Amino acid sequence: MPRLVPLLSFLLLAGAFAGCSKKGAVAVAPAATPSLVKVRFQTDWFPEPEHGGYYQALAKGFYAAEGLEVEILPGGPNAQVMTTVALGRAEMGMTNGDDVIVAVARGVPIKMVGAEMQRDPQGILFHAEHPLHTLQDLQGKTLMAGAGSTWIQVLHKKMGIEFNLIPLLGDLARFMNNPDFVQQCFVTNEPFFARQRGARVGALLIASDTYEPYRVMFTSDDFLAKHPDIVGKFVRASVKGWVDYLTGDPAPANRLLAAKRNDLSPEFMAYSIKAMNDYQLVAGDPAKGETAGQLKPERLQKQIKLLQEVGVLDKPVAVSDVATFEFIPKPPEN
Amino acid sequence: MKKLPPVIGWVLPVVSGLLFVALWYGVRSVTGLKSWILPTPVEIIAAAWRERGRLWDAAGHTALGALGGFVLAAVFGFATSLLLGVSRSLRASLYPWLLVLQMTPVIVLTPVIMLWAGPGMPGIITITWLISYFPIVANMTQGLLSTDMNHVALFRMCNASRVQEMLLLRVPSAMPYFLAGLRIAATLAPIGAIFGEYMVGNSSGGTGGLGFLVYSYNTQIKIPALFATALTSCLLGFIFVAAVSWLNWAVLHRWHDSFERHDH
Repeated sequence: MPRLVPLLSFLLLAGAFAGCSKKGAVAVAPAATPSLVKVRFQTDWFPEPEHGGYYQALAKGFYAAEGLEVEILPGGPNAQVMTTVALGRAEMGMTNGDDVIVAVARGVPIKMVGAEMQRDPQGILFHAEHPLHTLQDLQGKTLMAGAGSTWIQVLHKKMGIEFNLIPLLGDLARFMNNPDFVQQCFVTNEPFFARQRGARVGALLIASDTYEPYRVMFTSDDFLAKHPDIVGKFVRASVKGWVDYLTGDPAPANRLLAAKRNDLSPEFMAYSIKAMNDYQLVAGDPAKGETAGQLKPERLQKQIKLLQEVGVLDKPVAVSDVATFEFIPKPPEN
Repeated sequence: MKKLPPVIGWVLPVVSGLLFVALWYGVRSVTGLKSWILPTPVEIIAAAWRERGRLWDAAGHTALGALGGFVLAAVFGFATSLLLGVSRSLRASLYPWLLVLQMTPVIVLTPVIMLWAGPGMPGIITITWLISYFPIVANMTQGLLSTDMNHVALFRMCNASRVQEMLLLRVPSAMPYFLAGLRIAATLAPIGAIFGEYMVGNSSGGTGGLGFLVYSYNTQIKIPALFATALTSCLLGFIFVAAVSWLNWAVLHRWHDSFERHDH
């Protein structure tokens, strides 16, 4: 029976693979250093400067100073951030605030605990020859965008803007080839690459007074109930990391990002950081009293109402169902 | 049909290849398309050289995913076929359901695979496994059922047990079928792994495979590098198929009619 030996070892290997998926039964395990608590943080996409604040907090020891050993889990296509956190495969996650509201209305037990960005970096990329000054300029245009996006519903149903929609494929080729073309983008991302290829472009932030989604940090209801102290520490250190990343020297985080992904150039990272500052994405608009990490109940209430009006909520939810405000860091005293 | 002289066999593909490249340059110069729409072969090779470090790491990552899925598919495919080949009632009760699973496009299952197997390598290997599993099962089962009836009669005459008949006769005589299944699976495995990286990949471990590079190069408008990624994927596919062809030769050349032997 010698031919059974490789067969058996293959089966063992298969067992090992099956075992890979079963880790994460223990939500919070003591780390190697007994004083540090292990926290897994799920991001929504491949490591990128738009996650820079967390990497800065990691690199500069802000998490460790709070007694946390944070592991930042890379995301990617179909990252399923909210399910991952709801199932306890990660303790904390980040995503668009809208998505959390929609998920809570569908019964996913998660809550926002702090803002990552005061405004989502989602924008519309245009050629400088045919500029967009406001969202109203989209009237009658053809736009390439993610068909399921909430903001499209808002533009149609709430702001009365009519345009043709082409599904977003994530490439810029058609845009580059047609000066009248407009497409969805991250203001922190695509404009850099379009300019690098010689196009004169601009980007209009989709967030407006009507529609202003946060990007948020969130956790599961279960983890929140059992470990509110850890959640508080994570939010505090992350916000500190974000402020430091955007106003201080971003090199520590950028080094970590470069180690995780070898295709991001220093110029791109610098552009992305500048865009986050220029659009006040993280720090917010001081004139409106916004600060880094802040979530405002009034704004979330407005958001829930809007989502309900455009018909993307399965059932009505209250602000207290989708967020808790006890961990929002106090703005620094000047 | 008359055999072509060996020299012609080499010259013809070179000529057609050159014609194709000429056409390529022709289209590019007539249409004036930019390199980020239609790069020339030289630009692609230059991009491949420039990106060689990334492509090499990514190909290694993809090869690992493809190999993992391929090995699982081979092992489980082999085992499933034994089950199907052993008894008529087992075959009748299982085969339709295997077909149902096969007909379900993996792309529909990717979110579920992501949830069950997890993102990154476990998910990629699972997708590759599912994609390359069925050709092996289908071929191997056919092989187990196609044993020469004279041989079976001989075994039965000698009072061979069912186990002996299976292990000493049916399995060896099904080897050409199994290997043909493996060869199909070998072309599917790298495709499955790249698709897996594209659907459930993350860049943990610092490299994300060729499927990840598709995202990266596409969003960064590095189109020549995207073509270079295609070229690398193609080479990886050839390596997989070559390895299985070698295995095919190693197992069969001493006895199977598909190889020319001196004892004929």
